[in-house]
Amino acid sequence: MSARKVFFAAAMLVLSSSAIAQEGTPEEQAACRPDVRRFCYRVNPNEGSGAFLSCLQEHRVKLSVRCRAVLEKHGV
Amino acid sequence: MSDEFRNPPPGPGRAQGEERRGSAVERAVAAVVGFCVAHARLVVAVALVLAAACSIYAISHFSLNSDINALLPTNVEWRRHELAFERAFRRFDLIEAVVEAPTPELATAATSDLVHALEADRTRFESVANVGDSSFFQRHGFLFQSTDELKRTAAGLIEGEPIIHDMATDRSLRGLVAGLEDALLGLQAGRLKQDDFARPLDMFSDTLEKVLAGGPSSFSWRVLIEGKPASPNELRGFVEIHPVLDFKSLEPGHEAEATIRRLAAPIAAKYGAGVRLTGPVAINDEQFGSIKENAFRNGAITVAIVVFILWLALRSGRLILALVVNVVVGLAATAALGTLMIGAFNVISIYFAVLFIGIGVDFAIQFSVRYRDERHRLGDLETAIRSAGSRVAMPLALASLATAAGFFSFLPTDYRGVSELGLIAGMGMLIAFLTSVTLLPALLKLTNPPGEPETLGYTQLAPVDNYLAKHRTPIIVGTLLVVACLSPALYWLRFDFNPIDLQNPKSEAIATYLELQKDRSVEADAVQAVAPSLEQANAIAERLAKLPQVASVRTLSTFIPSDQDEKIPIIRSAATKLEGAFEAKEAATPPTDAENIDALNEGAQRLTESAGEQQGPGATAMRRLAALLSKVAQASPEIRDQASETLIRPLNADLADLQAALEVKPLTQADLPRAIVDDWIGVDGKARLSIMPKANPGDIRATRSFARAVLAVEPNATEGQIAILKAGDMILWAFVEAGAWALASIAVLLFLFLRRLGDVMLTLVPLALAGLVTMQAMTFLGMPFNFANIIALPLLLGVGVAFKIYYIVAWREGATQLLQTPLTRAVFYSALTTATAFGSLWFSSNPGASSMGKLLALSLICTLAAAVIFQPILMGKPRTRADRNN
Repeated sequence: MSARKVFFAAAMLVLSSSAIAQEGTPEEQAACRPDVRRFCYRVNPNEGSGAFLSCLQEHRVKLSVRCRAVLEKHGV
Repeated sequence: MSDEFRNPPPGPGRAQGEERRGSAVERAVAAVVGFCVAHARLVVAVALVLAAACSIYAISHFSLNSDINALLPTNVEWRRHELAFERAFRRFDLIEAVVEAPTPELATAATSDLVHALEADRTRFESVANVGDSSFFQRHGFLFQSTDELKRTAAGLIEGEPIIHDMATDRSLRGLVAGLEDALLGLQAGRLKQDDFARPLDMFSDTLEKVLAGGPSSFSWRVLIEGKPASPNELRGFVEIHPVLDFKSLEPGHEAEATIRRLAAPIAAKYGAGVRLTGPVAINDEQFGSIKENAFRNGAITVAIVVFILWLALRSGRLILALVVNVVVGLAATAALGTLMIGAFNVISIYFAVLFIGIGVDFAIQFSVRYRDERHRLGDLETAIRSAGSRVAMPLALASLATAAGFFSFLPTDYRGVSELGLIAGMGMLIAFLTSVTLLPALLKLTNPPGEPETLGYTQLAPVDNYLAKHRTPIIVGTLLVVACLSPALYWLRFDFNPIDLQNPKSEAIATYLELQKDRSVEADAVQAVAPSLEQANAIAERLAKLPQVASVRTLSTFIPSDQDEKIPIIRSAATKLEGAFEAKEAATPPTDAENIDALNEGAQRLTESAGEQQGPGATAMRRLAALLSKVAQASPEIRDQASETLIRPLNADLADLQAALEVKPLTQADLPRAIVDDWIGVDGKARLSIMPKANPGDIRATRSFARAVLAVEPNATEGQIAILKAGDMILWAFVEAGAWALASIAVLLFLFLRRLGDVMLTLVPLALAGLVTMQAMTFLGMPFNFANIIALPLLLGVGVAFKIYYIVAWREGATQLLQTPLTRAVFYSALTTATAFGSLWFSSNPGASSMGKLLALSLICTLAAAVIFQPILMGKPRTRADRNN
């Protein structure tokens, strides 16, 4: 038996998402991703992280506690 | 030997007057027959008591050794290597359970469950090993990639981190929709094309459709990620089982196999998996099982037909009774003698019974038909029996000695299976002769069959007889010429070395084996070698790998990944980026059903939006999945639970594997699973090498070249194609050797009895001709010799010699127009019963048995034609006294 291909191998690229927010640690990104998915999915990621930030600010009241904490930490 | 050669009498077949003064053999046999007829009751009583004693002895001491290795010698070099290898690795007494499931994840889980279930039963299984241990390869999979592959994998992982994170921290339908939405953001960023989504989304749709339909459903994240359907190898798991074997049974592994199937059934149901059994033990069990199964059916049909043929030959129930009792008593005696001489029968020597019935019935028919002829001529029962006894004495004695010599010729050969058969069958021939001139006459006397008003010969064959006599020379010359011209064709007569061809390809064990053999990565028929240590094994492997005939060589070291220093940092760096995904504190609170419904509806809406007005496979797949997500959202909570179960269970397994794979550490031999180490390192630290040929299994020429090259480098290489070739050569040689001994010993015997070289030739030439024509017919019918049908040869030799002896003795006694004689009637019916008994094998579902039946039927026709038609023409007119004196 040959060594089987590994889960999440190179073909992961097929499903790879863009970096949603290029800044911050993976944890910080993860904290805001649900809010990005919910409120900012129409934002074109190519416009850069600034576009996401302004979108998140727009929906600030509806954001999750964790995401709001990340924003505050970065002084937004 | 008869000194009396008289002028031919007027009638067909009538050799001489009643008051012949026979040879010493004839006189002795006549005296014995006379005694037995006079004391018929005593003789029959003694015979029945003896037969009963023999049966009791044979039954109480009977044992069958179904170990096919017992058929082979232990004192030849290649067998010594094989046995040494077997002692170290025990790969003969193995059952291979092949687990197949709809997805790689299910295959892994089902295999692991089966291993646990089997391990619990130590009474039936000595050891159980998950040799493919896919979970091990999952855990260390990154290290088994090439450095370049690994770099691409790591980049993919880092880029896919958001998806992995969202799904890993929320393992629910909601989490899956989140992952999907993450991916759709990639589409929006223009980093993915719409059509990239077609395959993955359709995979989800296929599964959800099945869930909604309420049928069995499965999903594989591994297949999704690999971007192509799973290879058969990924959908398979292997469990190697050393069962406790019972060699006293015809199917030694039967109990173990039944237990495996019982334990596998619930596991198979749970994972939608199939479990099939193959490996040496299962294959042999299946073969002997099918022989046993066929044996009952064949036996019943054969007995019915044989009795019918006997009726045609003898026309008297009493005669048939006498004949059957005679054969049964002889069979009991032979079985007892065989048990006494060799202890346990093997799977070939057990065929003695078939040989005994075939030839024993022939002797009895010869006697009985001769008796009927004499009865017709002389009228009185007792006189007829005595006269028949003196007349058949010579041909029967010579035929039994010659057939016995033929069988004994296998004694000096290396092929133990057949040499034991030769011993028993040879003794059987002598016993058959003894009962035919003692018990049979006594039985005839006691059963007192009615008189014989009709003549027995085939007078209607007179024109044929005359025609053949008239055109004697052209027929002889023509036949010899045709046979000689066709002889070069024998160059194309094949010997099929592949033992698998002898078995039913549709049977489970064989079908599975053939499938595995096609998959070269399984190495089902690799050649094996053993080295004193792993270091030495690796050195040999290096030399072997350089041979042009060798495709690959593996040792335990193959399982230790190379360039680990380079690979480990790459994996660790990816692991750092993915850390958060597996942290417990990141895990989301499990969603309620309502939250799942919201997520599903949201996912459906996003997909519809992403598809837009676009056409093409990607957009179509998006709309299809959107519709299904909505349906799942509207369906009952049970459907959502089922969808979640189908999708999340494999996800959990794969994420666990991923997490384990990311916690990489250097992999050394000490980290390899026991099952894998035990598979490659045997007792005393001996190391195994597995050598794969480039040649396909059917290519004999390339296989020979491979075997030669490997043996030159590693003389103790064994198993696989090497074992098949070596065993094949040994068996072929055994038959050539036995054939030479048989011909020589029969020629000497004939000369001792007949005292004329010419007469010996008149017997052997038709015999050789029958053999040649049989082989030519095989060539033209495309029938190869194989390990099964070659066993038919001793029988053919025996029957063939007997027939020819009957004719030469009749001819020497001055008989003419042989086609019309009772002898031809006897020979014809004798051949017919034998052909029926063995020809029935032709219809067996086992290709080995079937090929044996086919060859027997074919060669019986040839040998019958050679004896009944060709030999009389070759002999011509009987010698006159003047001829002899000259």
